[in-house]
Amino acid sequence: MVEVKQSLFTEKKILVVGDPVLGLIGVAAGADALIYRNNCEELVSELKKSIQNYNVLIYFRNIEDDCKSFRDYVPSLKEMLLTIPIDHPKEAGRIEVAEYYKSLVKKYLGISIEF
Amino acid sequence: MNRAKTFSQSVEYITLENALSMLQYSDIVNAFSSMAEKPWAGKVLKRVTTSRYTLIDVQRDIDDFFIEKIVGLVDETKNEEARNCLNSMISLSELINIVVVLHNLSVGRKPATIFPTPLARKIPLASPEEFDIHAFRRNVDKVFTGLVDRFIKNKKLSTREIALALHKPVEKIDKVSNYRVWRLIGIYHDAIAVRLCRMFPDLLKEPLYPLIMEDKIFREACNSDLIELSKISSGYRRIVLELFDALTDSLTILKGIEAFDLATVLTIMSLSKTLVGGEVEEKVKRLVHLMGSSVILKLIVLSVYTNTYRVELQRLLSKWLK
Repeated sequence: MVEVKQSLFTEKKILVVGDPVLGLIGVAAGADALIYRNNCEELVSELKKSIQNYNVLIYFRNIEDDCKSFRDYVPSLKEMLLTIPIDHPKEAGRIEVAEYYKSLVKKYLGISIEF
Repeated sequence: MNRAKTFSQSVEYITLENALSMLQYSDIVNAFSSMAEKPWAGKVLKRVTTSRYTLIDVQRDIDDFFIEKIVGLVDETKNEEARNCLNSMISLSELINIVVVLHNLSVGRKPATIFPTPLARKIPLASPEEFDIHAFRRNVDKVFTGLVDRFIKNKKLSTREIALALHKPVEKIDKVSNYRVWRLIGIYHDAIAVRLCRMFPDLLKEPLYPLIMEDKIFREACNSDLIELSKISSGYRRIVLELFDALTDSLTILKGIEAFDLATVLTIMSLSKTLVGGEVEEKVKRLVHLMGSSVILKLIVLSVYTNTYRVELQRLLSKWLK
């Protein structure tokens, strides 16, 4: 009988949900991305279809503000994978936007980027 | 310690599961007996099992329980910013209660309260002739004494004083320091303003400053038929459309301005899910849960007592309480 061992270190598949800039950075770093453009229901239906393929979800917290369906879906998402809500730069206070994105990429995706 | 406290606090709220379970019963005794572990069930059970009661008695017991918790929440909150936010929301609710009480008195109706606030339990269900307006004035928060004084003097509500009173509760709320809380208080403020200008159309002649709604939709919300308003599903900020969506669902159970009140509470309950971190967000979230639990429980009691709108309420709560 063949014993199949599952790797202890499964690949961390990351999905980034945010604006085009965050999406682009996510894709450049090897993650997948969904862009939120006020398309609330479409986003949630896309997430429901594909979320089982991921271990980590990074998303802009303002999507929860805007989109009731996403807000209601977040508790289920938290049970399925690691969720990392991050503030959109425009609400993170008086900050340098480029520096903010750089720090996010460094922190969550582990790479350095230059604009 | 904190975890234990959080757990005991969340037991006070009504969950979707609780609500759906209670709606399965055809009488109040059994509905509340099924919730015996909930601290709010005891007081109601004592009343409904030991004496004759009216719907208003039960609804007052529910309000009393949650008002006590709201007062406790404010007392335990030492953080100034969190306290300002709590006071802001409570004052907005209080303003509605004060205006409704004074308006009812001016047209010879019994005083009534809409939202659970510290003032609400001090308002006797007296006839207009027996109502002690000076005692009422002493209980009113000092930001609203001008409004009451003008009423005592002129025997009618002043729209100028209402407009001023609407502005005061949000003076100290800062958009930059906590955007998410500002947003929730902002839509609550605007909904309260709409509620008031629907009661007093002349209020629109006064300077009003909606925080979230654009001027066009604010005026439309003040003037339009509620059913027409509930049909608006695009063209404005999502947070405003969410209020109209809640209104659509509320209109399946309640009529007129009561549906708008319910929609207001459902909207802020849903938005409170976005509050997660820090003392300010936690305290505001707790206040919204306490207010919302009171409103929803009273609605359940109404449905069970009158044996009406059970299916509609199940549908509404399944959407907004999850």
